[in-house]
Amino acid sequence: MHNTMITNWRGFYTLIRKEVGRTNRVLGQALIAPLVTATLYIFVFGYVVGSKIELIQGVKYISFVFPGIFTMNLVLAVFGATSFSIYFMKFQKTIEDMLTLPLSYVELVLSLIVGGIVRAFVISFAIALVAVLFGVNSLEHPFALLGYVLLISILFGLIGVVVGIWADNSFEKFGLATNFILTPLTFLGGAFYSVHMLPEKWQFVVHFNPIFYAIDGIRYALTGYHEASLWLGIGILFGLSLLALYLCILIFTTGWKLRS
Amino acid sequence: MLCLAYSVLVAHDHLYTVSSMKNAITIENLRKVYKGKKGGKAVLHALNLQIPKGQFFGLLGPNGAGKTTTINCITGINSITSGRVLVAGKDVVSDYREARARIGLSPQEFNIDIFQTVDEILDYQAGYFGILGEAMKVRREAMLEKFDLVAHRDKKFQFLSGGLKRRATLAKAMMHNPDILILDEPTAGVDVETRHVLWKFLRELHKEGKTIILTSHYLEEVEALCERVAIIKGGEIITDDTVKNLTEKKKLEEVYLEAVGHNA
Repeated sequence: MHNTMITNWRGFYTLIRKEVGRTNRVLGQALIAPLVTATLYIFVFGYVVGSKIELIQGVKYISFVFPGIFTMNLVLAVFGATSFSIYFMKFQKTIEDMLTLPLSYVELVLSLIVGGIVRAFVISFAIALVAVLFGVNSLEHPFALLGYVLLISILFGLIGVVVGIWADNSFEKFGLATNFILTPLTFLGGAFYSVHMLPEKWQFVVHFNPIFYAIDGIRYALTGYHEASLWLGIGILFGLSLLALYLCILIFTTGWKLRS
Repeated sequence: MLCLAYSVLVAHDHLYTVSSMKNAITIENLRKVYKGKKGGKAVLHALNLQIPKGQFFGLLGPNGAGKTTTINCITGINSITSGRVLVAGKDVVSDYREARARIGLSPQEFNIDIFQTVDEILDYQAGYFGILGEAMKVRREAMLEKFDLVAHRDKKFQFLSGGLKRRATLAKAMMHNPDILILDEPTAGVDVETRHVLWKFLRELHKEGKTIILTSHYLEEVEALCERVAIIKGGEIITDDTVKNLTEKKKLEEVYLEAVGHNA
């Protein structure tokens, strides 16, 4: 049982130091891409289009869409951080070195997640600064924002680990996950519109999309407005995180696509 | 009756544990099959091997015989199809952390982050094994000195020459002062001077009581260093004896060539 717990704290600390160090090494490129994307989205959807649109559900359009832009970049950044980290380890074969260490698989997985969280917080902060420059200045529940950023980072960081292992040495599989799953789910999760604008049956379908709850939570933290039950959203995000963590541990324990 | 059977089982298990504790490595009926798209390829067939603590052991065999697969099964890089492997009495699957804590591995192929400097490589390795702070610094300086890496400490792994990469890998393997050192072709691509430095260092470690497992294609190296040699071919041990016995009448090279069926 203790093989699945954190007991080698010094080893775990070193793993985190290494993972954060790796994030810092590529921070420039990790930061610039989402920052440019976010700036363009805020400018086009929020500033240009938003100036022609009245309030949405009582919220200024730029303030309404910003949580969607913020969440999209957060999800893609943290997913990219962990998936590429594990992908790179497999590519360089350093994963073989990791598999010989006296560290539990929980410690290995969590260190990757912490690296992803650090990147997520840096990117979130940078995007928030850009948003302020474009006139987004509402922050209704700062602690809720912190909690949601953390929960979203953990969930999509764990999903990134799974995809990074599944992808083997194929960039196509990465593209598949980001272009055909994450980005569409973000767009369909109410990033740029209220779900109440959708036909009724589509409103029902949206509730099966976990990114909808992520956007809804961030929107609540920033503007105070939300469209679904917050506790249901937290429950879904938390439950999926546990499921993804279990999947990661299972993968490391069985050695699926990790060991020959 | 049931109690008696249980007592016998417990006693047997206890005796087995005691005997396996005396061994650095115990391999029991180890079978390894690599899965492929066209079916499985069996590389190890019910391999049995016991390496006592403190022994300098050489594992020889032609390319593809199963040497690296055996090492990878001991260290956790490969999964085990069936059988079991114990490291100082600890099962490498169920007690993998305790088993791995006792091993230092210098693999055949480099598996180090090429963007890390030599200093970082050694510091991280120490940290993974619970050595931090002053103890880490002392050990790092000793390893840099030992492997003549002081002048290269700030260089990234990718910019080191082949020989320096090998030295850095060896220093990393020994960073946590493991009881068992597994060296998979450690002198491949290393210059003669470094090879002799390594030999001297390995002899010192052996005197300290460390268990050393060495695979090498340099048979004179194995003959000069090892106490016992096993030759593996087609996933099975075909010869297992002391170097003294094996080289009583012939050179190790002749013994090896005869064993693997190579007629010069």
